[in-house]
Amino acid sequence: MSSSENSPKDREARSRNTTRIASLVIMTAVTAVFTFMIRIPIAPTRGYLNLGDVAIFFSALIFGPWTALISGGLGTALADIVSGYSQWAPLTFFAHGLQGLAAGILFHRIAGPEARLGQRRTTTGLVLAFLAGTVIMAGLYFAAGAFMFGPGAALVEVPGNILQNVAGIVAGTLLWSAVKRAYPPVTRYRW
Amino acid sequence: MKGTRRFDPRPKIILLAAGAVFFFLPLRLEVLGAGLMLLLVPGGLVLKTRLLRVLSSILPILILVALLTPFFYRQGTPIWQMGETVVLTLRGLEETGRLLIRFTGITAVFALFYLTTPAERFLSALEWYGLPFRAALVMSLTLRFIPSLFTLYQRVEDAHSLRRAGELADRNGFFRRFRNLLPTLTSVLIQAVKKIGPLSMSLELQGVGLSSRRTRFVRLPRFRDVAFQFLLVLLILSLLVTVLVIFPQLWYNGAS
Repeated sequence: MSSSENSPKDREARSRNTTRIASLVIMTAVTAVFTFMIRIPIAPTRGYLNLGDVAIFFSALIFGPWTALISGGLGTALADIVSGYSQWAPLTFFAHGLQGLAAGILFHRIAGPEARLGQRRTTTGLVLAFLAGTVIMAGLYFAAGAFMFGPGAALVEVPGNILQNVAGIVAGTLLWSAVKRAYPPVTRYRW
Repeated sequence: MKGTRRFDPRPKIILLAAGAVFFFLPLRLEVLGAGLMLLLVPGGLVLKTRLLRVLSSILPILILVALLTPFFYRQGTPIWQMGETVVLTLRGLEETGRLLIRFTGITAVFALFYLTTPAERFLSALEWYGLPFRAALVMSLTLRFIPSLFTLYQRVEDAHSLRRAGELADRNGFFRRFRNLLPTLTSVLIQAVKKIGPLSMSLELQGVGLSSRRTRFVRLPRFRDVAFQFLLVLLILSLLVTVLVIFPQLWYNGAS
């Protein structure tokens, strides 16, 4: 270590950097676990609802757009690779990453740092975050699906993707509020 | 299997990219089919049931493509007409075949790559191609944290179900299940977030962010030791490109 790297300013910068890396690691792992290990069966279709979008919206609301971009994209892409759908991993990385980025930017711009459930601007922020996230995620999957296996089959996936987003914003918002109340220091990890 | 793992991940990444691009090229159906066979036969011999398991997971979507796509194409030679309305054309069938081969091919290319490349070697290869150290660090640490977070989730779930055993006896219904999951997820997230501080401190103590040279746990062979593999991959790709340039009849001309 050179002496210039030991100044208080450098140490602070390094500490901020490692905190960012640590929060990215933890939220990426959370997103991957929520995506491929926690699944709620949907009886009529015999399909599953995964909770990856819940983790993405939670990251966007608590940690901000940049953590949501990386942890959302990387976490879901890793989940795709581990569960044998590696052909989707590159697309998933962009679709879910951009979904988290858009949701995070809109929510924090509109609701501000002191956002609380019940405030008008918080509700507006949540609605716009959901809309942007859904349009980006479902839109990218549809476009890529249409290119890969035709518009007919790609269209069939759209309702499922919208449902994932609805579950994501509903549960993500409830978790955002609950975690912030139970563990207030969480807000210091936003960047 | 051992041989495929000995194959360096760096030239393998070139093959992965080329394989994915190949199935999007506007080639004749027979050419794409031959490409698919060239992947599936040796791949099946090496990976056996593992490849089959991956391919069987895409079967529902392949059936959907086969059922829906033919009716989206009305141009070309009609095969089935109902009165004046053209229901099925040769072009529709060809496009269906193209999409089926494309999706199966891309799935097989990615499956062959990931099933024969350990994650840490893949990360080292990406670093060799220029992936920043911090990005590789995030990815490799994440792979180590996934099992620990899953164990945490199971412990929290067990603890919650012990506290409300009577309530959880009736777990029918999607919304009830979803609602029951929220307290568990809240606890898991709080416990996960609490790990950020210690992890950050441990990274700092290990010198992450300093300018000193980092050591590596996984070390890829020197370039000159695997130059032959790079050469082989480039030779195969050059041969393929040459054949496609010399024989224009291999390309799809859109007439059917």
